[in-house]
Amino acid sequence: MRLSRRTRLAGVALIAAGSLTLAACGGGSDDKSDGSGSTNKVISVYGTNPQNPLIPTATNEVGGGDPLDNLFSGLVAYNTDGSVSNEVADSIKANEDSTVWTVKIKDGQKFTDGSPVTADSFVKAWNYGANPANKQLNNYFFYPIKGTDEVGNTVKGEDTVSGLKVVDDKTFTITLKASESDFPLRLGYSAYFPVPDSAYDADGKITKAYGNAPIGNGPYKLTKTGWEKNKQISLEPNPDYKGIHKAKNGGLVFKFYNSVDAAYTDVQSGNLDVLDQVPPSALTTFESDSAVKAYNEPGSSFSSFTIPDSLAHFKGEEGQLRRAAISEAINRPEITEKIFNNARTPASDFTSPVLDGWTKDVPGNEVLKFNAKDAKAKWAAADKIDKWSGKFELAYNNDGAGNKEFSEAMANQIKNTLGIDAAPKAYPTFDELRTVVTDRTIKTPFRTGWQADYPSMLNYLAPIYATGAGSNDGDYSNKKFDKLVQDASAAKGDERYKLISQAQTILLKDLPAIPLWYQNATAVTTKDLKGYVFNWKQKPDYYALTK
Amino acid sequence: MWWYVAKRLLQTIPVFLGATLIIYALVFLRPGDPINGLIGNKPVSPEVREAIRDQYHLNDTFIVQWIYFLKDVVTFNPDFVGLDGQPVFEKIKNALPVTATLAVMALAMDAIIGIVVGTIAGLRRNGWFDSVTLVISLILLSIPIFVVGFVLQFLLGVKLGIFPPTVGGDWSISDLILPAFVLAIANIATTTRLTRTSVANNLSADHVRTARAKGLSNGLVIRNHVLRNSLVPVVTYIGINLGSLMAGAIITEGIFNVQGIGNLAFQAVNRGDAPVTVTVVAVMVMIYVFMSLIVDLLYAVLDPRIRYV
Repeated sequence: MRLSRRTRLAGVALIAAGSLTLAACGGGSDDKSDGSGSTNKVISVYGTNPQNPLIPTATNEVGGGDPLDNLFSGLVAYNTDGSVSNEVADSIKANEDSTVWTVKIKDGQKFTDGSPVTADSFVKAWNYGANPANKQLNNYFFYPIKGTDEVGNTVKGEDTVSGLKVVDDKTFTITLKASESDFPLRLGYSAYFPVPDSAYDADGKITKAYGNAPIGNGPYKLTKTGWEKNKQISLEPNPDYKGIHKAKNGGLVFKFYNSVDAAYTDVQSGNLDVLDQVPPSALTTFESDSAVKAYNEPGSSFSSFTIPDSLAHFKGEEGQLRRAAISEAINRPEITEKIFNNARTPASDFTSPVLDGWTKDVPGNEVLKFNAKDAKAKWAAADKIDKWSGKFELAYNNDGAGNKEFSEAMANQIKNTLGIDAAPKAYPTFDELRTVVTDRTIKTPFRTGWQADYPSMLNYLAPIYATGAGSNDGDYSNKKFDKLVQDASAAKGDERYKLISQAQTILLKDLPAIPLWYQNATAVTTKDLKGYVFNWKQKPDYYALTK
Repeated sequence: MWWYVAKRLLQTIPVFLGATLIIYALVFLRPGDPINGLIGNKPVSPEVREAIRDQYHLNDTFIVQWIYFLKDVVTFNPDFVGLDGQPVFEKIKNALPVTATLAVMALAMDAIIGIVVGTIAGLRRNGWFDSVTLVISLILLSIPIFVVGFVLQFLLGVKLGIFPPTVGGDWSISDLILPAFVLAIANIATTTRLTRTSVANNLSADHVRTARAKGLSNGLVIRNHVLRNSLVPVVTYIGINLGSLMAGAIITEGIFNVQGIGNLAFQAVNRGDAPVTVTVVAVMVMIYVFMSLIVDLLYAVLDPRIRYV
């Protein structure tokens, strides 16, 4: 009797344990066979699981952005050097003062579902992106267009952007709020991609199904498996694509990784072809690592820290002196070398060296060089105006690699040079720091950075330092600077660069943010990979990768 | 006994409610606005921000948020999505199999190696084998898991190429051998120590002396009287471990790029993604609860004195 009861008990336990094991094995068997044998090899590249639906106006992070850039073609396409060539557009012509742009679309352009790319494909998608009811995160990109507010949403009470007018099937016009001679440079960004009619449901909303498996008009299209959640996104060349970025490989697979370290290991062992960044743990070794091909060059992302205008002691003439003193107290080359192993380049202006018109000789940029004596003198001069009190704190988000190290080093440099109490102040996550920055409750200087939306020096200046601009976190305002930026955006050629230089000289005097360094573009690939070149976004031109 | 099982299953309901409520409160107390993480550096209009906050009920108190959550979970709402707009149940369905396989493999390694080595060490108490295992298990216990993980990954995966260095989305059992071993290491050491002590204690117990006095053969004594009784604490430890193995796999999953539950939880916590965080942790809690039920039932098999009525 006792035995049988015990046997039954064991049976229950075994069944329970067994069902757990069975459940565990359920999803494990996946067909691994890939279409091999073609001469064009599929290239595997680093990726992360997209955090938004794959809709051009909804995707604002690289996990979704990189696949989207390959699935869609805009009116223009970016060349490797940051210049643009017409892609879907046949012509983009401005009126005399560059406020009204007329776009004509090439004949025979198609989405991968066979439907034609028309003027409406663009205008409808942009209206959708700008309408706040659709909760699109890229509305900001529409702010230059008439009929939107300062963050790019359609003005209150309107569903559509009044500055966009369809003329005929192949033609539409864009009316801008202000004259802008390099407006077409913006049009290659993903927010400006067209969307086919099949994407919308009966209520005019882009469907969930489309967000999971978008239909585009780009050099690639999704394979049958497409976006496999938490695994990968597979693309194959689009046979109907006629643009300038024709795929040279047999397809792309964006493999998702939890950590860059794991991806680096996979490149070393040949399981991943391209990793477009280098983890901090490998920064000292990646260039001498014989298992990989290494790439390291100055890039397009700019790092700084912002001293808000509202801080005591940082206003007016006293503020100018103190800001300059702090800037001169920082030894940038020491930090970029010791902490970042030269994967950063000390900044000499507010933009990026990869851009057209960039110069290392902006008048006034000597304030970005380490000069302990001058820093002390300026600080003392400021003390004469109003005696310094309190502590200089530097806020940073602790979830970004290297932030803690450089903030500590910089606080130490400021402390040692100026003899004041300086310390870093950690916020655990990026969103925590952004919360106190956006609601303006932050009472310390804070780390800032900028990654351009389109390859123009003005994109590093106007959105951050113009009065009332969307990303003007420090509430900086200088009429002269605003005027120069406005004039520069209407001007052409050398005149434009001259005006930009003058605008930067004003910034170097006022220092609303202290420029620190340009982040280098670093990458590793497997030995047999060819065609890796950084474009202005610090990304490879995926279509040109071969092996 | 069935009544006992039913009672235990009913107890899981308050456990589930309590656990999710506490986790929800914790996520709610986390400073910062998850929407800011979603938005990034670019400005978004207050309307869009409010619309997104409303969509995820972020403007409600956490009790109300929690009730929304319960409603979605209890009704298995397919539109129950995380902050990235992806269905939560689908995420868990994708992530659970690989984590469960990893945990079961680690558990098997733990049980087999730990019990065998521990028993031998216990039977030959204070011999050279016992001393050597003591030293090795102390070393294993004191090295952090990420050191062992990275070193083994580099040596066996990258340099020697015996195992694939990472797992990725297309995984198979053989990909998981190395991560499972890394995951099991610290537990193997504990299981060994536990078995060894338990066996050693039982060897000098009265019932073993009686068995020997009855003239039973040495093998029979050890198998039926020493080992079975020694396994009670070991089974408790190993069983409860399955829960902690699934939860504690975050570091291992990160090193070996396993797209499992630990990784899902880690990313969700980082983003302040309450729906995903709470659901994942709730799943972990449930696994833990069911494992302890199974362990309790196994007691009765191992120890004739325990019976459930």
